[in-house]
Amino acid sequence: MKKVILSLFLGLIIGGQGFSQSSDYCPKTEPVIKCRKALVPYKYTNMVVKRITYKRFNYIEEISIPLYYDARYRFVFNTELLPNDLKIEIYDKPQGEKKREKLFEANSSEKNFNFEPEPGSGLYSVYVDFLIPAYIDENGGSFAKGCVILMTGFEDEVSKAFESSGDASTSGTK
Amino acid sequence: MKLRIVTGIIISGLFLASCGSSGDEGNIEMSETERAQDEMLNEMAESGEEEMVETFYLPSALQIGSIFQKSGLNYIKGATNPTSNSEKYVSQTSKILNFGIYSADLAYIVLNGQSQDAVNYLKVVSELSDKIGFGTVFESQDLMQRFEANLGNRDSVINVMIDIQARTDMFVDDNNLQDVTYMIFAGAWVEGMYLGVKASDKSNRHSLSGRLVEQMTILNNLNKALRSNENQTDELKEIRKQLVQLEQFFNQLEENKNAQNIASFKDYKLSQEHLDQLSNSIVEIRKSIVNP
Repeated sequence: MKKVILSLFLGLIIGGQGFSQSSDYCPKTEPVIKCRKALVPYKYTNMVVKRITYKRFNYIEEISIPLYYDARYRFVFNTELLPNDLKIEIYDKPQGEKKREKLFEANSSEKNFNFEPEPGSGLYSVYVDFLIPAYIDENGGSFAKGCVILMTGFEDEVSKAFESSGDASTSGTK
Repeated sequence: MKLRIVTGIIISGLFLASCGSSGDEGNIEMSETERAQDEMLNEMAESGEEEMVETFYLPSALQIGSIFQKSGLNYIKGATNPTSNSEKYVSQTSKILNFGIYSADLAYIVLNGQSQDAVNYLKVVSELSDKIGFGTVFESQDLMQRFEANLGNRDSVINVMIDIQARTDMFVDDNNLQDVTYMIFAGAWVEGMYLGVKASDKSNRHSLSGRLVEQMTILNNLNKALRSNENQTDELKEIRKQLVQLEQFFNQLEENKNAQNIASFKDYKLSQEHLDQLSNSIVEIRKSIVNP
C-alpha cells in the first residue's frame, strides 16, 4: 500500500514537473524590457512570443509580417529564452515560392539583434523563418522548449529628418 | 496534463517496482521501464506537436489609424460607433469584436486630437475590457491618470495608448488568449477600413484607396488567424464568412494583374466600381458587428 501511495505521489510530482515546464519555460519580463529599449526610437506596434518546441527532426516555422509601404520598421529579436540554438532567416516571399530573396539571417546565439527592412523597397510582407534543428538529449528525451521574443516598431512621420543621425539605420544590426 | 500525470504514475510505479526486485527478474522489469519511458517520450514528443500553435502577426489599431491618417484621413464626427451602443452587446463574441471596434475608434479620435471624445471612448474600452476578461490591463490607476492628464498633448496620449497595447500583448501571451486577440483585431481592422471608406472623398480617394488595398494583405493573415480560433461561435462564423468573401472578391480583381509591376500600393489603380464594391462590403461587415 505504501508503495502505491508513494508511486502516486511521485507520479504527481513528475506530472506536475511536466506542467510546470510547459508554463514556465518563457519567463519573458526581462527580455521584453530589453526589446522595448532596443526598439527606441521606433513606436511599439506589436509583440509576438514565438514558442519553439525542439523535436526529433529538423523543421521550419514561418511568420508572415505585412508591411505598410511608406513606414519604417524595426524588428527586435531576443532569443535568450531558448535552450538550444536555432537560425532565423527573413525573406521577401513565403516558403515554397521560387526566387525568394533572403533579406537577413542571424543565429540565436547572438541573443539580441535587429532587422530593419529597406524603406521604399516595395515589400508588402516579409517572412520570418525559424529553422529549428532536431534535438534529443543524452537521456533520449526530445522535449526541449523555449521562446523567441519578436517585437516590432514603426516610424512614419519624422524618420527622414533623422536619417543622418544614425538612429534610423536600415538592414540588420547585431 | 492528465496524460502526463498518468504516464508519470506508471513510470514511477514501474521504477519503484524495479527497485524492489533483483537478479534476472530485475533485468526484465528494467526493460519494461525502458519501454514505458520510451513510450512516455513518444507521447511527450507528440503532445509537443499538439501544443504547437500557429503564430499570426497583426498590427495594432493605433498603427492602422496612423497609416490611414497619413494618407489624408480626416476626422468625421459621428463616424465612430456611438459609446451608447456598448450596452447592447450581450454575447461574448459581440463584446470582443466591439472591443476591437472601439479600440480603433479610440485610436482615430486620439490621432485627430479629439480630447473629450477620447475620454468617453477610453471609458467604454476599459469597461468592455473588464467584460471580456482583459480588465487587468486597465487596472492601473496610473494608466488612466496619465491618459487624462495628457489629453491636450497628442504625442503623450499616443504614448499611453502604446503602453496599453504593450500591456495587452503581455497579458494575452501570459494567459494564452491569442484567439481572443485575433477577434479583437478583426473588429479593429473592420473599423479602420470603415473609417477609411467614410473619410474617402475626391481629394484623397486615390491615396486612401491605395491604403484600403494595402490592408487586404493583412486580411489574409486575419482570416487565417480567425480560422485557427477554437471557439467558433455562430457570430464569429458569420463574420469570418464575410471576411473570406471580401478577400475572395479582392483576389479576383482584374487590377491585381497589373499590380505585379507596381513599386507599392501607392500606385495601385482601383476602379471606382471596384472601390465602391469594396466599400459596400466593408460597411456591411461593420454593420453586422456593430448592430448584431
